[in-house]
Amino acid sequence: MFVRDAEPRLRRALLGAVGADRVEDAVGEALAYAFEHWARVEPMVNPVGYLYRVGQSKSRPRKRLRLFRREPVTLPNVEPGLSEALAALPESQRAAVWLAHGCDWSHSEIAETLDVSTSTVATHVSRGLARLRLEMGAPA
Amino acid sequence: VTLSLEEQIRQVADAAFEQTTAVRPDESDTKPKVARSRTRGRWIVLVAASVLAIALVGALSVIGGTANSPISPVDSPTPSPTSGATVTEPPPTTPPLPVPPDFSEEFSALGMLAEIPLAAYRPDVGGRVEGTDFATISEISGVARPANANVAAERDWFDVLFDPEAVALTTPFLLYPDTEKLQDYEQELGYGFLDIDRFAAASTFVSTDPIDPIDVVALRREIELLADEAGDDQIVDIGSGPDGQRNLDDRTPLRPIGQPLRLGIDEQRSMISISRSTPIVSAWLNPESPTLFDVPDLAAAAAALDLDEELYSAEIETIDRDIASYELDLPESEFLIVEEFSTVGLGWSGFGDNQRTTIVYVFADEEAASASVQPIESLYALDAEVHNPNGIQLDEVDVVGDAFLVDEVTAFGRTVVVSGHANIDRRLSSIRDLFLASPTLIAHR
Repeated sequence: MFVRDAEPRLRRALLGAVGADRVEDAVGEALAYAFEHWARVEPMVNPVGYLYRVGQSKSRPRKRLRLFRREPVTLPNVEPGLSEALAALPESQRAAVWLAHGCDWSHSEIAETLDVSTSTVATHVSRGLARLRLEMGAPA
Repeated sequence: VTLSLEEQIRQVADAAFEQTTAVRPDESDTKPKVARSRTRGRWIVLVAASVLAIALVGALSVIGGTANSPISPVDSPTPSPTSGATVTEPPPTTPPLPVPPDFSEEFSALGMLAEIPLAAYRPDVGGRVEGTDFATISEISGVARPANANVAAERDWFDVLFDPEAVALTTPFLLYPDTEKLQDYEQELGYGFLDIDRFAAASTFVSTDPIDPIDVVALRREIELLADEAGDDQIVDIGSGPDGQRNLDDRTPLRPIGQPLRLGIDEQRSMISISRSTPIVSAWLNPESPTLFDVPDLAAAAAALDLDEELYSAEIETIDRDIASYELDLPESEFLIVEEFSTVGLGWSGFGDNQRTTIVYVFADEEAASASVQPIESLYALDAEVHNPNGIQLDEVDVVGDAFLVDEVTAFGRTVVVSGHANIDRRLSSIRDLFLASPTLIAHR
């Protein structure tokens, strides 16, 4: 039951953190950790947030991150180069932007997951979007 | 494109997510639990380890003082990845050095050397270079690092980090991970120990006082705020006054006697160097400056340590010939290594039951290294007696095998590489204790 509910949310969140090449490994590691430490994970209010950090830590990318496994991907109504610009954001900004706008997490959920304040999350999101607009040639 | 940027991000996430595959792990697919029980007294252990390491330098100085020349910053066999220094012919038996990965991305002993400017090293005295990759320790232990101090996850992380049976590591000089000061560091510097992915540090010992040590840290967060504070020279001053000036009215946990610190800022690589010396920080910032990668004996030790691709912590020590901290009263026949060596390297990799320790000796040439394999094997024999002439406290360690088990002794170029692991229930760093308790392990005639 836990895996069925948590896995898609965790996989989507970690995709923005570790990239398409490592996301399944990261999810697998995080869920294995959850099994191993179930007594600790089970009572958590936001276990996915905690496991996000576990998966991120275990699968720290060392190469340039990419969001799509099969490229190039052309999406209607999406500026060309947006996925690359997203992937190139600084880690904290990418995590905040991805979780907020790619996963619909609330700022408080993100803050708890990343262990920062909600105002810091707002700052990261704002700066990340501004940088993306700059990269896309749009007014900041 | 008519969608807002936020809506486009959502589209990208939807499409990328569709390319991923659901994960349904088997519940039996778990890893063994890590023993995290021995956390009490971890600071004592660290302090003791530090003291022992300092004494090690002294021991080397006494034992090796007869013939060894101190390492000189002579020509590098290959160009430093950061210096582009002029090269001359390498020693004839030195294997070509690989160019290490950038230290901001990945840990290696050679990369560690490449971050330390030669200006931070005194070849006439010798010293110690060390580094640790905390990101890798997090990966192999499966314990996430907390984002900042005083959060619940901190305890788990530090339990791993300072479980002496699980990992062995070195710690920065200036950013020593004192749990009582983590928040103070963050407040003063804008980042803290928990933000460090990996570090390289160097200090030169005169007696037991380090001279102008330097910490170089790769951070996992942006340093744009610090970068904004830096002047044209890319240096941020913490505290006021000239280099080294004590100011007891401006003491902080990071600057206990008020000496100003200089922070060199490399925003592009999210790296910072910290020193009390402006010239040292300036040298680190200058990509043309020579580094310890250019010191052949250090580089030879590092290259041998890097043979273990999972290396996460390393230290390389050289001989201070002028220090005479204590005398050894052993017959020369006890010193099995006849050939001279100048440098000893230590490295750790793996975790828990898979932990590995590597010891490297650097000799003058390949012939000397080859000739030393058998004597070194004898030194590390399971039943080799621990003389302990200095009365080092080592509970229930009468022979080497009580603390350290050798898997293999091999020659690599002009180095001899001892691969092994700590005995069960021993601290992984107990090899340091052995060096002191049985100084013939790091002595030559």
